[in-house]
Amino acid sequence: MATFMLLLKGGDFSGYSPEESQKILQDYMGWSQKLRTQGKYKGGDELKDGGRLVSVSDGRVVDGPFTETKEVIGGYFLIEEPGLEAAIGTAKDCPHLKYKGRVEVREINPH
Amino acid sequence: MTSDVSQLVDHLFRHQYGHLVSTLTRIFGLDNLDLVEDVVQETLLKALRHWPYHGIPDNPAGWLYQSAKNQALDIIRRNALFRDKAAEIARELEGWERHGAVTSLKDDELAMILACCHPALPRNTRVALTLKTVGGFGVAEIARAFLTNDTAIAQRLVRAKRRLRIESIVLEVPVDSEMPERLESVLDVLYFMFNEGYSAHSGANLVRFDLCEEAIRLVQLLILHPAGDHPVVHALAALMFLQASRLSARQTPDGQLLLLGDQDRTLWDCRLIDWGLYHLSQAGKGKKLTAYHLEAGIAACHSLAPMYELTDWPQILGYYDQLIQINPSPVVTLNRAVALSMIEGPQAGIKQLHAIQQQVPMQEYFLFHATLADFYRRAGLSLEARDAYQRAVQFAGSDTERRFLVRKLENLQ
Repeated sequence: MATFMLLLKGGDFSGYSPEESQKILQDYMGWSQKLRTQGKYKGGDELKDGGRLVSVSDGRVVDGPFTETKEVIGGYFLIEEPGLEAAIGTAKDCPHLKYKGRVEVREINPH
Repeated sequence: MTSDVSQLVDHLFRHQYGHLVSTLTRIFGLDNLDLVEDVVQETLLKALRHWPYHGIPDNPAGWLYQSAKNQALDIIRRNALFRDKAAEIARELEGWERHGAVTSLKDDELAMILACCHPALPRNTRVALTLKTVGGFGVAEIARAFLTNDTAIAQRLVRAKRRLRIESIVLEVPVDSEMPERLESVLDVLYFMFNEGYSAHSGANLVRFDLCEEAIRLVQLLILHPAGDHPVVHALAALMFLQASRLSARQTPDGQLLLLGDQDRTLWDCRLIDWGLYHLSQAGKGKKLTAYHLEAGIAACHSLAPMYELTDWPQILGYYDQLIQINPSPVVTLNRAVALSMIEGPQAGIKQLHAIQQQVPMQEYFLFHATLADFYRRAGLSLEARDAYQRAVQFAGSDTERRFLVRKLENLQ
């Protein structure tokens, strides 16, 4: 078994009615609930909006806002899967894809 | 926190939307309805971004409340417009208690319903505004329910909000003496909302059913408030419950329309019938007999008949006779003619319909032609029946209705 991090990027929930919003939420909850019942769920968290991007410019360390706001990481899930293919399969089921979001799948390199 | 989706009550977001909008609007004023709607929309968005990772909070409604409150506080801190009133608004917001599910109607919501249904607004507007701000329906959902486009509804809502400003309509529960007139306007909206859902002329059935559900929810909430607990409100509640009890029996599994006489009465929802009869008994406590009372009485006669053949037609006819006094419309005459034909025979019905056939909108009303066709069929006049059915097909609004009529037409041969 290997551990993977699913990074949920972007995503747009604007313009939905309250009823549709609840359906979207139920969609996500259904997906994460399945991870739990299958014993794949190892953790996950939402990342706060904002934050800073620290970089070096002209030899000086600076911090500034993200330039690519569309690709901001909204949160992540840690899941256990037999291999990359299985992890990709789980990511493909993630409702995030239906709402203009993308899911990056990365394997945690064991010590 | 729980990851169990079933913890989410059906329509939680929709109902909380209305609840939060009403409460916040009382604090911020009707002038700031747009701002309030944005706050509540943003609150729901926040839940969407938060809950998938953390699970559903133990008290979802309380979470939404808290979150909306924080956002509202944030706005008054940042927005210069509220500088003068900031302290006052903040105090009111701080006073918010944590709420669970909405089971009673607060003054805020009653005031909001009354404002949305204000007699100064045209009826269509009242319905759209009520669905949007009290019911938590989206613009597209309202448009689908009324078979129009999003732009038309959005414009209607903009005009409605402007009108609220022009007429200086305020959020308040009016004094007792004004209440009957204001309630009448609310009931008119709820009755219209329910009928739109119930008659399902066309469009997506699910959305239509939502309209019935919402109308019933609001009429129940009205009754829960002392100022809304009037016999006439009970009469409308009775009518809605009794009609709704037959919703699932009105169509075959493959979507064919079934009339009262052909329905499987075991499919009628006894629980809803009981509620309907309860409200009907409460409706009888007032002095005024309204059209809602009579229509509920007619619906009750059908609900209580163990089979179609045992329907108490004389009683129904009596109710129609009274209804025609209150509401002398050709549609009532049409329905009365059905009851009459069950007592005196199809010829009596035909005579009645001939008398109103020149009236608007009978010539283009499919039920007029369908009813007339049925009278002809029962009177053994197949040729006339065929003609009338063909005219009915021509004016049918939905495929379901059209298929129903075509089937009748085929059975004639």
